[in-house]
Formats: sequence, C-alpha cells, structure tokens
Amino acid sequence: MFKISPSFIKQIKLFLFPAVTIFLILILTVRFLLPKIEETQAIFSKNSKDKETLNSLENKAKKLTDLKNSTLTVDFQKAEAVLPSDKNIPQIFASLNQLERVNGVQLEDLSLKPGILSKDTVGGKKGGANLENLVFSVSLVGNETSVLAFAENLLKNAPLFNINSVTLTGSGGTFRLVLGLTTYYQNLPETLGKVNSPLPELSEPQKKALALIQSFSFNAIPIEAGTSASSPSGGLTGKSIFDL
Amino acid sequence: MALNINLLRKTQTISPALLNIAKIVQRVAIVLLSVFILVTILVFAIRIFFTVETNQIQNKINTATQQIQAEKSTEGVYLSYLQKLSAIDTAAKDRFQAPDIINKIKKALPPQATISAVSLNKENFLLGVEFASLETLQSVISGLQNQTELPVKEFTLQGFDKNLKGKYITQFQIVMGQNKK
Repeated sequence: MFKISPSFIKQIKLFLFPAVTIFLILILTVRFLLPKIEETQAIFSKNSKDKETLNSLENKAKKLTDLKNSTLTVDFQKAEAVLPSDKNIPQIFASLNQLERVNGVQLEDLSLKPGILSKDTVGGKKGGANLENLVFSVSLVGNETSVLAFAENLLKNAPLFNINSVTLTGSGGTFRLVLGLTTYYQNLPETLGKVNSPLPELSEPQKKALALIQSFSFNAIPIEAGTSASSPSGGLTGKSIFDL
Repeated sequence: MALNINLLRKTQTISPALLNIAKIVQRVAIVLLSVFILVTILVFAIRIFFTVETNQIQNKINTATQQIQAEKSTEGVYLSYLQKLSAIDTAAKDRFQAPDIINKIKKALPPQATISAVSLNKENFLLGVEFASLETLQSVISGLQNQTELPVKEFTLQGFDKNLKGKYITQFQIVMGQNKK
C-alpha cells in the first residue's frame, strides 16, 4: 500500500499557502485589475477629448456673445445692401434714382428683365451659395462731367454694380451715356452646421470685401443702427466686428 | 500563516535548503500581495477622480451647448455675413473701371481736342475725338500713343472726317491687353 511520508506532507504545507496566494494574485491581476486599468485609461482618454470639445464650445459661446454685442447686425445689413438675398428690383431703382439726383443727370431708359421673382426658386436654386446675376442697361443724359461722375459714383454705391460696357455720345453741352450693367444677389444659407462646429474667422478675400463695403455709399438704402443680432430693440455699444 | 518555519526547522524533518526556498517564496507572496492591494486601491482612487471629472466636464459641455443654441440667430447672421463677404469678393473681382479709363484717355488728349464718342468694354474701345484744326491731330495721336497709364495693346486710326460744324472727327480703336505698346 502506498504510504505518504510525514516529511513529504510537511514540505507540501511549506509551499502550499504562498503558492496559492501567488496564483490567486496572478489570476486577480489578469482577470480583474488589468481590465480596470484599461477602463481607467479609456476614461482618461475620453476626458481629454471632452476637454478639447469643451474648450471649443466655450470659445464659440464667448465669441457669439461678443458678436451679439458688436455691430454685426449693421454690418450684415450693409453687406445685404451690397449683395441682396433676392432680386431686389426696387432697390436697384432707388439707387439709380439717388445717383441721378446727386449727379444732376436725367435717366432716360432702364432696360431690365428681372425674370422669376419668387424667393423660393430664385435662380432655380433654393438656399444655395451660388452667386446669381442680373444684367441690364441704363441710359442717361447730362453734361460730360455729370455723366462721368454718375458712372464713377455708381461703382461706389450699393448695391454692387459692375460695368460691362459704356457708350458715350454727344457734343457741346449734352452727352448721352449708355451703361451695360450687372448686379448680383445670393440666397441666404439654410443650415448652420453642427453646434460644435467652430466659428470661422474672416479669410483674406472676405477682408478685401469688407474693405470694399467700407468704401461704399448707402444713401438710397436705410441701415438701422443700434440693433443687436437677436433683439431688434436692443441697444449696441460700439465695439466693431472688425476688431474681433 | 500557519507555517512556522522555525518550528519545522527544529523538528529537522525538512532540509535547510528547502526551508530557505520556502522562506523566499513566502516573502515573494507577501510582497506581491501588498503591491496588488496598493495598486488596486490606487486604480480605484484614480477611477473615482476621473469619474467625477467626467461629470464636471459633461455639465460644462451641456451649459456651453445651451449658450450656443441660445445664440443661434447670432450665429446665423454671422455665417450669412461671411458668405456674403465671399460672394462680394467674387463679384467684385477684376471690376471694370470704365470711368477711370475714360478719364485717363481724356488726360492724354490735348486741351484743343474733346471726346465726341466713346464705346468701350473690357477688351477694347472705340474713341471719337473732335478738334478744330489739323495741327491738333498730331498732338492727339502722340497723346494717345504715349498714354502710359493704361495697358494699350493696339492702337489704330479708323476714321477721319469733317462734321457739319467744320470740326474734324477722328475715330480710334484701342485694344486693351496685358502688353503695353
């Protein structure tokens, strides 16, 4: 019969408890502790990303607050006057009539075919970012200085007119000027994008356009001063959007 | 620990080498256990800290999101404004400065000559000049030929006439281009 010696049993007892302890520690480390460490690392990574998102959102919220208290509404109205959101035929007439009065000329003829005037289908595109144009011609009479002054001031007056062609005829005191012109309009965007999309800064072309607008005259178009972007009755203090 | 190595040593049933190995193994077990307990406590403490931080960050994100949504109209105006500026820049590119060109041509003419007709676009134009005496014609031609402020590519005398008032009328065609004549 097989007999286990007492010394063998004592040897087993000597190593049993530490071995079991080490084994249990290894098992717990692999099955419990390491996954917890990985989860903690994942929480840390997520927090880092969320901090960046938070930073971006807070910057955007601050910038929007600054914009709200700036001259954004007035600046937008000027840009809208230079480049309307739809075919603003009355505005074209008002501007030309204003120039006629200021420069002492007489408008003889305005040849304009506006086409579709519905806001929803202007240019066949709804809420698009495409620039649409309106081509027409205008004829006026006056002395040489006044008709040329009309043409010069036309280029500095809202809305934006581009001269395609000029025909000047006459002699003595009376000249007739026929201008081939193009004016433009563009629909407003329909969507703003995501909440966490950052607000873009002005690009170089946009800054050039801003400088051009600053040189324009808005005599024929009423621009409301002292309104905030969200509350028409609110008052603005004078920080200019250009300083942002 | 149930083991008492010293007691076991006294009974002299286990060899001293084996007892030393057992001692080492016992110490390793104690160290591992201590380290395991410490690391576990540390991991849980860090995890609790990060969880609290997560909640704080999420609350701030919600607050910032609400602020942004409250200013949606401002954002709309601003984005529309930027789009308009881009469109204005596109529309105003290479604007034809017709009055400026006419004024420069006028400056190039001698005082005895006057413009009787102009028809111009971006590429070329026809210019009618009226003057009383033939001596002025040379001044008109040299004035237009030497006109340095405009990029004149080609310059042609198209017509020469005398009108009912007895004044001379010449017609020039000027082709504009990148290369100055």
